[in-house]
Formats: sequence, C-alpha cells, structure tokens
Amino acid sequence: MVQKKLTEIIPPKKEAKQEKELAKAEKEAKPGKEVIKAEELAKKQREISVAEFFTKNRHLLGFDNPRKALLTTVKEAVDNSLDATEDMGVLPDIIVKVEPLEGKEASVADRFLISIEDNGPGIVKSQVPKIFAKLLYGSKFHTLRQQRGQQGLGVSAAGMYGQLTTGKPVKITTRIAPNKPAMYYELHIDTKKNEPEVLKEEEVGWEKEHGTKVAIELEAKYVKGRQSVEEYLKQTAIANPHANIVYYSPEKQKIIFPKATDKAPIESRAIKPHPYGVELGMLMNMLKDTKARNLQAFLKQEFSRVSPKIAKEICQKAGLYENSRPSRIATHEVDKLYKAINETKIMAPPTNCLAPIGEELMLKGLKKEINAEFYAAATRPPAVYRGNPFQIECCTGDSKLCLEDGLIISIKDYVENEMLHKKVFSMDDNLKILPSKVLSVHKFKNQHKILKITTRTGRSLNLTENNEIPIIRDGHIVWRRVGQVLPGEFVAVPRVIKVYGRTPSVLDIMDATQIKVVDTELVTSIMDELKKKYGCYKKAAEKLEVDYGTFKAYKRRKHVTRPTLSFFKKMAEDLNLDFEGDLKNRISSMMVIDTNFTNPCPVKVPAIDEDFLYVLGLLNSDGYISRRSIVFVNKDEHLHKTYGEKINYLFGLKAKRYKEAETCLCNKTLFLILKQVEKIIPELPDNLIVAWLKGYVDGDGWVSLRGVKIKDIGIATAEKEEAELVQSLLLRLGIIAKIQKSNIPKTFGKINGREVRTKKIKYNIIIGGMEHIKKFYSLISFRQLKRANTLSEGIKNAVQPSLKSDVVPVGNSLCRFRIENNLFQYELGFSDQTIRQAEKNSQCLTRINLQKIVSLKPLLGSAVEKLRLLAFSDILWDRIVDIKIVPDEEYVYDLTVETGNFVANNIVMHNCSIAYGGELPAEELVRLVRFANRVPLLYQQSACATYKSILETNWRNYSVSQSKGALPTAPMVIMVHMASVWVPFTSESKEAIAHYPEIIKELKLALQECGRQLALFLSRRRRAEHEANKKSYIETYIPHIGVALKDILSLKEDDTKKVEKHLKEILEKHRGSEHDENIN
Amino acid sequence: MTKTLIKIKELAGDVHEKILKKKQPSMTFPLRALNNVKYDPKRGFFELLGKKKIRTLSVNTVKTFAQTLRMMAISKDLIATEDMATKREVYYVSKNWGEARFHEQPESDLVMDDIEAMFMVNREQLGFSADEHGGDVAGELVVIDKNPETKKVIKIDCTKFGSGAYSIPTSVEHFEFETDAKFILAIETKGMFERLNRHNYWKKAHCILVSMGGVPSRACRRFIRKLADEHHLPVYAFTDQDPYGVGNIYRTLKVGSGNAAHINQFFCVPNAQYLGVTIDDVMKYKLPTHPLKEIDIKKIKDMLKNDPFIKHHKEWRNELEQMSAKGIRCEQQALAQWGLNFVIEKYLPEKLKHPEKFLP
Repeated sequence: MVQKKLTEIIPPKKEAKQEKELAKAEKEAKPGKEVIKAEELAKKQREISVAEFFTKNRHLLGFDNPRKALLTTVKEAVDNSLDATEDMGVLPDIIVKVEPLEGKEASVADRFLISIEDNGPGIVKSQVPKIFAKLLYGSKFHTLRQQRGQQGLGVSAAGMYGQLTTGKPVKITTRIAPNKPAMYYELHIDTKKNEPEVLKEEEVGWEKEHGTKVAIELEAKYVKGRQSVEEYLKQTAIANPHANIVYYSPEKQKIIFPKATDKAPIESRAIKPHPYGVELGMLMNMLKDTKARNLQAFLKQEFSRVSPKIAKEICQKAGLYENSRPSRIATHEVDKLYKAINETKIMAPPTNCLAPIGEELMLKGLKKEINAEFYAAATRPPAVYRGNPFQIECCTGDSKLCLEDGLIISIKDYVENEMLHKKVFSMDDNLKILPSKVLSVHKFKNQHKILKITTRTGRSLNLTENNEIPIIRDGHIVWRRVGQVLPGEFVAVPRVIKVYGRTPSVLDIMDATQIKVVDTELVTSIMDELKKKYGCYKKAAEKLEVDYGTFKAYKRRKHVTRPTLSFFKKMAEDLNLDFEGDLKNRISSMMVIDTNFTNPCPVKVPAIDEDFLYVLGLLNSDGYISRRSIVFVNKDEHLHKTYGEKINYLFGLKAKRYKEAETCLCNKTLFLILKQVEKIIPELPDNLIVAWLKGYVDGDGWVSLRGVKIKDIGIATAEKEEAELVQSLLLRLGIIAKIQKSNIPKTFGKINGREVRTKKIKYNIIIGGMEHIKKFYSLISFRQLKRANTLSEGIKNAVQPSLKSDVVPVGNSLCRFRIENNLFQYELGFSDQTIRQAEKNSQCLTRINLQKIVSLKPLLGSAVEKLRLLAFSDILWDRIVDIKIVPDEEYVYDLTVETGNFVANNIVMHNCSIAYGGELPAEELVRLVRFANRVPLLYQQSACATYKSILETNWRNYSVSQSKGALPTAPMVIMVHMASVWVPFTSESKEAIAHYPEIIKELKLALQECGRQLALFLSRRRRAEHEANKKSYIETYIPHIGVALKDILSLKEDDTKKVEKHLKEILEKHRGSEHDENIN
Repeated sequence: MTKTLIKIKELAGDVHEKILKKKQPSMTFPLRALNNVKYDPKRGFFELLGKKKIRTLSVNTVKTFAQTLRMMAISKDLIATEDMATKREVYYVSKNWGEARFHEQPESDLVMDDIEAMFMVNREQLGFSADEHGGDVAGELVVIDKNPETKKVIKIDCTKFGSGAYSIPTSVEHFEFETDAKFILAIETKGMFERLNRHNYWKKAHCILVSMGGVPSRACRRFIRKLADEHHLPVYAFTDQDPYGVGNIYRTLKVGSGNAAHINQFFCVPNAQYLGVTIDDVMKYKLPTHPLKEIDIKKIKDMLKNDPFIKHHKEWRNELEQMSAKGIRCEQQALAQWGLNFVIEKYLPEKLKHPEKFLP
C-alpha cells in the first residue's frame, strides 16, 4: 500500500485551492492563460518522501499521543530484539530502560530516554544507519515467514518521532562478534530525502560479546496499568517464555521477567506463497519475473504445495499449454489461470513457516504471570500437557561456608539449623569480601544435573548446572551459568577473609561434666565456705543433692575424687561466688573423668596462647592424637626438644622420648583438650592462627628452589579436609595457596610398635608467587634453621616476581583505559608486549603490575575506576581447570544473601532467585490478552477480530455468564495468539487484527475447545462445592472420625480431643485429590 | 468373628497412630471389578489381581473417611454383641451421624463394600447382612441347623415342605447336611422350580432342587458349595438360554463375581456344570425363540472380551458366538411348548443321561 508515491493524496486539498485560484484567475484572466496555470501548478507538485508523509501522519504508525508513543517505541525495539535473537538462535536476554529526563519524577516528566539492549547478532557497520534512520528499510517485508516486524517501519519511525519531538539523535551501540570492536553511532534522519545522517561513529568498549543497544530520547508520558510498558512486557513475557526480560522502570524499580524455559521456540521458515493467496495482479507480476522456463515449472517452483501433477491440472483447467512461456501469457489468459488455480484442490499451506507458541509454553508463560485456579489451552489441533515453571539454583550440601566468626561449616548444617543469625562472607559491589546478612535459607529436592568446578588452586564446588558464578571477561564481571562456563575462564575467589576471632579459655570449651577441678586448696576452700554456710557437710550435701560422702572425699589425696567442673560451678553459684571473673582463673589443674585408672595424671590448665597452638600445629602435621597416646614424630632433634619443653611448660606433663623419632605421652585429659581446641581453630584470632601454622609447617613443610631462586613453599598432608583447612587459614592471612593431589607409593612403617601404612594419596598445599612467599616469610617462616635459611636465601636470589598466580584478566578494559588517558602501550611502565598481551587476554597482568599501573599519575576516565577496583579488590581470579558432571544428590541447598552472592568452598556463587506470579483480580468482564506473532496487542481491543470471536462464542454453554453482544463476565483471562506469515492488521499501527471470516472461524473453534475444558472444570468444582456444606469440612467431619476411633479403640476423652486437633492440622495442610487414587 | 474384630481394631489403631504423628492416614481397598480379577481353571474361581484404591485422608475425602470409620465402629459393636444388621438398617443408623449421614442407601452400600474388601471378609463376618433372597431348596435333603436362642439342634427335612420349599438363610456356615441325593440342580426361574417341585421331580431323579431366583446370592452359592463339597454331589445349572443367564447367573454360580472377588473362594461352585438350555438344545428340540436385543448382543461382545471365565473356556466362546451369530435367545420355560411336563419327562432325563456333554 505504501509503495506507491503519495502524490494522489495531496491533490484533493490542492484542488480546492486550485479552484479558488482558478475562479479568481478566471475573473481577471484572458483566454489562453489556463495553459500557463497548469504549468505553474505542475511546478508546485513535488514528490513527497515517505518520511515527510509519516511526519504528518504519525497516528498511522502508533504515535498519536505521548502515552502511546512511549509504548510503541518500546514495542518496536523489543520486537526487533526478539526477532534478531531468535534468528541468531540464542535465547533472548533483553534489558529495557525507561528513564525520565530533566530530573523530573516519572509521573510528571514529559521527556524520557528509552533504551533497549539485547544479545542478538548485532548489526554490521554499513547497515546501521539505514536500519535505524531510514523508513521502509528492512529484511522482513519480502519474506513470507512468521515474524513480529513486517514492514521495516517500526524502530526508524520511533527514532524519527524522537528526533521530531526532542531534536536528539538515535544512539546505537552494536557489536557483531567478541573479536570485533563495539561501534557507537548517533543517527539523524533527513526527512526530506528519507536518508540517514551519521552524526557520530566511533569504537567503544562494551562488555557484551554481541548485541545491539538502541537509545531514543522522546517526548512521552508514563502511565501504569492496562496500556503501560510494564503490562506490555508482562504479556510479551507470557507469549515468549524463552525470553529473559529485565525492565528498569521510570520509578527506579528493577523488574525481572525471568524465562520459564530453556527451549528456543521452533524456528519459522520462509515459504513460497500459496496459490490461493495470490491475487491477479500479483500473479501477473510473478509471471513476468519468474525464471522458470514453462508454465508447469513456474507453478511448481513459485508456489508452495503445488506438485507437477497439480500444476498440470491447473494448466488443463485454464486451457493453457504446460509448455508455454510464462512471460508470454496474455492478460486474459492470466485471468483464466487465476480462476483455474482457485478451482483446483490444493493442500493447505505448510505450517513450518510458523512458530506457534505451543500449548505447553503458553501455559508456562501464562502460569508465570497470572495466578489462577484453572488453566486450559487449545491449539487447533489440540494436545494438552503441563509444565513446571520454577527454576532453582543451588549447591550441594557439603559445600563449606565461612561465617563471620570464622567458623567453617557445611551449608547443609547451616540451612538445617537455620543459623540465620550468623552472617556469611560474600562479595560486595566494591569487590571486597565482607560478612553479609543472610535473608533466608533453602533446601530443595534436586532436579538438575550437578556440576563440579575445580580451580587451579585446588578449590572445588558442586553446583546445580543453572547456578551462576562470577566470571571476569575483559575486565567486566559477569555472572554466567555453570553449565555455560568453559575451563580456562577465571572465577572470582576470595583472596583474604578478615575474621576477628576470639580467644576462649580452655575451661570454656570443654564439656563441664567431663572434667574435674583438681586444685586441692581451691576445692577445700570452697568446701569450707559451704560448711560455714550450712553448718555441716551433711546439710550442704542435702542442699546440693549429693551424697554426704562426696565432700569428705574431696579432701583425699587421690585426685579421682575431685568435683566435676559443673558441680564446682554449682557450688560456687550456691555460695554466690563469682565463677567467671575470679574462680575460673584460679583453677590451674584439671583432669578428665575416668573410672579406669586409679590415679590419672592431672593436667595444668593451659592458656590458649601461641605456644599452645604451636604445639597443636606440630602434632596435627607430624604426629597423631589419640585417646591412648599423643605422639609427635619427626626427624628433627631440635623440634623434639622444643616440643618436649613446651608440653612440660603448658601442661605440666613429661613426654617420653622413644627411639629417635618419637616423643610421646599418654594422657586422656590432654587428648580431650587438644581435640576440643582443634575444632575451634578457625574461630581463633589471627595471631593464634599464625602460631598454629607455624607449628604445622615446622612439621611437614618444605621449601623448594629452582636453582638458587625460590620456587615455592609446600606443606604435605594426607587428609583432604585438613588441606582445605590450611588453605582457608592461609586465606585469613591473605596468602593464596594451591592444593595439589599427588600419589605416593604405599609405604609401611611402625609407630609405637604397630604397623602403620601411609595413605596412597597425598595432598600438597603449595604457596607460590613472590608476594605470597614474602608474606609467608614475614608471618610464619620456619623455626628449623636449615629451612629458614634456604627460604631467605631463595627469596633474596629471586629478583623478578615469579609465577602468574595472582592475575587480573583485564582485557579490553585496559585498552579503553589507555585510550581514555591518551597513553600508548609502552607508556604504562611495562613492555608494550606485556600490555598488548594483557589487552588481548593471551597473558594476563599480575595484580601487582596492575596496581602499579593504576597508581601511575593523575588519571581520568571511567575505566580507571573499574581497574582500580579490580586491582585492590579482595578477589583472586582463579582459573577453572575442570567442569564435570558428578552423581546427583538428593537435596541441594541455597541461601538468599543481601549482596546477592556468597562464598562457598571459597568460591563466590550466586544466590537463590525466586520466580513469582501475581493474583488474578476478580474483575467484572473477562480480561482479554491478545497476541499476534508473539507480539502483544494492547490497543483497539473492540476493533480486533479476537474480540469479535469472543463475542460470537456462546459462553453460556460453558457455564459462564454473558450478556448479549458483550464479553463474558467471569474472573477469567483469555489469551489468544495468532501466528501467521502475514497478520492482517486493521492499520499500520498493528493494534488489531482484521475481521477475516476464516480467522474468526478458527478463533471461535479454538475458543470453544477451551470453553469445553472450562465447563468441565466448573461443573466438577460446582459439584464438589455443592456436596460440601457451608460449614467447612473441617468442622463437620472431624468429630465423626474422633467418635469412630473412640468407639473402636475405646479411647479416652483426652485422646479423642488430641485426635481432633491433629486432624485439623492435617486437613489444613492437605487438600488432596478429589477421588481415590488408583495404583497397580 | 473375633479375627475380624482384631482387624478392625488394628486398622483403627493404625489410623490413630498416623493422626498422632500428624501424618495423613490412609486406607487401601483392593479394586473389586471384573478388570481386576484373574481366573485359573485349576483353582476354579475369580481371584483378585493387584489393583488397589487408596483413600488418603484429606479435605476432599474426609467425609467418606469419617463414614467408613463410623461404619467400622458399628461393625465392631455388632460383632461384639453377636448381632446382625441389614444393609438397610445400617443406612438408617447412619442418620444419627449428623452431617456425615448417608443420603441414599447406595452410598452406604458402597462404603460397606469397601470395608468388606479392605478386610477381605464376607459382610456377614462384619455383622452386616444383605436383604437378599436366599433361594429355595427342595429335595432329598436334611439340613441340620441350630436354634438361634436355645442353641438346640434342629433337623429340617426338605421333602416335607409340600408345595413350598425351604428358604436358605443368610448365614449357612453352621449347617450340616444329610442326604442320599445324586446331584443338585440349580434352577434359574422360580417358575421352573415350582413345576419340578410340584411334580416331585426330586424324588424321581433323586436330586436336590435349588432355585437361584436370578443371580444366586452369596448365601445360596455357599449353601450349594457346602452341600456339594460335603457330599460330593455334582451340580448342574439350568438357566435360560440368553447372555444374562449364562454370563451373570451361571458364571456367578460357578466362579463368583467381581464384586465378591475378595472372598470368592468359598462363595462359588467351581465344579458346577451347565445343563441347559444350550443352543444345541434349541436346535434339537426346536424350541421357540426370541431375537436377541441390542443390549444382549452388546453383552455377549462384552463377555467375550472382558470376562476371564468366558475367555478361558473355548466351549463357552463357541456357544456365545453361536448365540450371537444366530441372534436368538430361549427361555427355559419354552420347553412347555412340547407339553407342560416335557421338561420332566423328556428333556431332563435325556440330558442327564450324558452329563459329560455338559458345558463347563
């Protein structure tokens, strides 16, 4: 319709004017002057460009008023994005932003900036100006395929409107591949010529790998409710359940319409026209343009569904030869041909040019957005099935969380014990690792594959495949699903976790009923106090509920008879003495309860200090702690000496030296103490952790050199858990360590006369990288002279920083930063090769170097901020070495944290996101939601064919009330979607479907099918309601069950009441199915 | 009887426990229908297959649940007091239950059947009795019964009823019999029974006549079974030649019903044989017939497809196919065409000469 020149429309007006002029001229004219007038007139006639036409006829495109303008702009851009991403074959990820301008509030603003961003294929340089700033330019007009855009008018018209009302150009950012730069354009449309003007064109940095972003500034008005952007996006989400849409509303709200399925919609294919669909004029054109040699071939090739046989039939009916040349066919013969085509029986067009939404997805989409009791869908032909709309992202129960007090606990324990009062470490927006509040905990039955990611530092985490982890790409942090991440990418991992820790006293952490207070004087003095208070031991014993003899026993020499700590506390309480402040500190000797030994050795109550932890570290790494004996095994003489001394000093015990390599002692109390302290190591303050680590590395640590230079520091252990603990503790100090597994041959050995076989697998904790080695050296180091010397020498000899363990993959961001500051590659203080490699991501910059770069000199630009954040962050970028599927777990766990992520197994992961649905309002008339080719139609409802079909369907047959000539009245939403290669709209603004009788017929049939299902549901529901009384079931029938049970089992009154109470609860929870279930 | 009581208490206890644990209690009933039975000719009766119904307590099922439990309570009382209540009486008792009462008897019958199936007992064992007609017995038989009140032994001679007959009561377990008869003849229609009784056919043929009166009730079947087992008597069935006679009456007598699938074992007569009227008889004796109705043809088709008993016996399949092919049915009283006593004088004696030719 619009291809013709529009000169015809202008004449009517001109005609009137012309007549006036003519009349005027006639009065004054002399004959012969008419000719001149026509020529003059001819001069005034001009071609009118399409753009000019639409400027004056905006309503044809949907820009009648400011409110509609806003919506139409969003609609057009979103449609384009959806089409483009579908064409590319990816699931659409669309971000819509509507911002009020001039600092005004959304409701009063009259200018808005609308931007829509997608992850589609992007647009090539040469096409960008034409697509956005030239009307009637597009790829879809000439193909017969179902798609949303049809004429190539949409977004250009929006741009033009924007330009018209604000004078501002259309701003486009697009990128076609990750290895090509992103391009930024500002475009202007020359309305007189319908040609684009490029105002700006430059390369920019953009974190997306491919996609397009359109930003238009225009005059508009923001409304909420029925014809708002939000409503439109909601409906679009329903019709496109595979699309993920994020909407930033003018009121600064972020609304997410998550996708309900990962399946891309079936692609629609372009087809040839169907013979029934062409008109005579079209047929003539086709005959002229075809390449086919003869008529039969023409019919077969140019149309769909025409086989050679049918082609022959058509020719015969038309009385034409099959062999005739198509271009030579005369007009009246074309007429005959046209008639013949319409009289021949030809198969219906193929439907692979269509991509209907499909019932399952339609229901999914609908269920997502609308909360109702009953859903039904019908496609012609029918097939119904239901889906499950929620997606859960989680990790497995054994993943370890780090809590704010240092405690390391599995997420399973955290969730099952609902420890929400304890904060969990997570990454905040400034890339710092801080404790953050947990809002809720979740445990789900697993329904997804579980993937295990392993990083270079030996960290691993088991996550459901749709969980997201933070990956860095080109200096931008993006959250990607585990299933989509590849080994080699860098994931965010904390490099330091700051915990303050607390130092308890030994007596606090022990079980007070298991240890005894041995100090004779202390105990005796307490007893004397008691005696004073009660007059005699007997009365005191009665009051404290013990045997009389116990007090007497306390005075005995043998320690076994001393009071337990708990009883001691009780006594102190009874006497109103201050246990915590005074007495506790005076207890200096303790002993474990043991009925086997006659006189076990008491142990001096140690302070939990650095010596204590050092000894514990030694034992943990190079010895073993068991109930029977505590043994330290090491070849170093000096260490044994130190160990022995410390044991004596701390606990007052003497350890025996056996052979060369072992020092051991047997003391159950010490065993208990050591075991308890072991448990709380992560909660201790940093200095004590350092002490423990010192002991640990003295036992099993080593230094390895490369020549004379230091290579790395290692610690060996046989237990994986212990290795992870050491790694976490080192993290507390800001030292990054890597865990490596290594196989060692089985060796045999003897300890204490028993044969001991060492494990096959050994775990090595390796500390590499100068920064960390130096930190280790300054904080921990070795006590052994030899090792300490090797370490310091090695460090001295290492001039250059070695190893790329702490890198920041900045990629393109570095390039942008450089450009913003007008720096060349060699001006950054490093070789230009280094910088080039860093920008290309082939060799990443180490953090130290990055820190140097950002501290260079006064720097400008936004990129600097980002780089600075990365350089000084608490995040280490750990390379993923492996992602593999692991066996399923029954349950998976997750937390919802304020910051949106948390640290599990020392890797940062995304938290739970919840899908939602609104309530179905009990409106009067049904709500009609219309879609054509997956695009929601929001306006002109009463002019639409769907509306008419609903009116013409008799809803009274389906138990829904309906007044004549109106929509039915029910709390119901009817969603209708029409998929077609060409949707006949009533106007260019594509708001309503035209009233074609075939369409209305099909619509009615589909509506009736849904109506029947609805009727079934309603009648069943009515019957169920009818059977139940006004009173609820719960009150009515429970007493009978109670009476029956009472009768049969002869229950008592109380029992019966209990039964009734429980029944109420059970019934409140379980509505149950209407009928008995059948099983085989 | 007490076994049933234990079962009731057990189930109630189970429900109670579950409630206390705040879990949904549930009751499982085997599905008693033709599509859940299997037929093994060696065992000779319909047995339950595995399909079950589960009724879990929830808001939608609470009414039925309550009714079931209350009925179980009634049953417990009946057993404890050794009383019996008819189905109709139970229905009226339920009117006491306020909102949980039955509105119509079929509802109460259903619940009763469910309880029966759940415990796999006969309803008599629950204390319920049916309003069924028992069936009439005449012939050379002495039934040894007990007076319900005094518990004294009573001997009932079935030859001494004149033109009347002994009526089988609901509970026949405690009966004992004395007889010299040679066989039992189970007759469908009362009319035929009357005729045979009036002419003392039982004396001539030395047999026991039992009128089933349509589909034989459980008591009737049990009676015949007990009698046949104890005295090793063959049982011959004499019904109309139509799908109902064969498929319902004879089949139920022989292998039990879908409804009683859980207790069929003792409530049928697997050794029974079909005397008449067969298609062959119709042909041989040129008996007047009526055309089969739509519904009859449908029934034949259904039987051929769904009835395990029919499916198993080729002879029956042939018989039914012939019946359907010829499209005729014939009543046993049609024998009267050839004379009122034709049945006594000619038909039965001739047939009884060759009992081996009877259909299984």
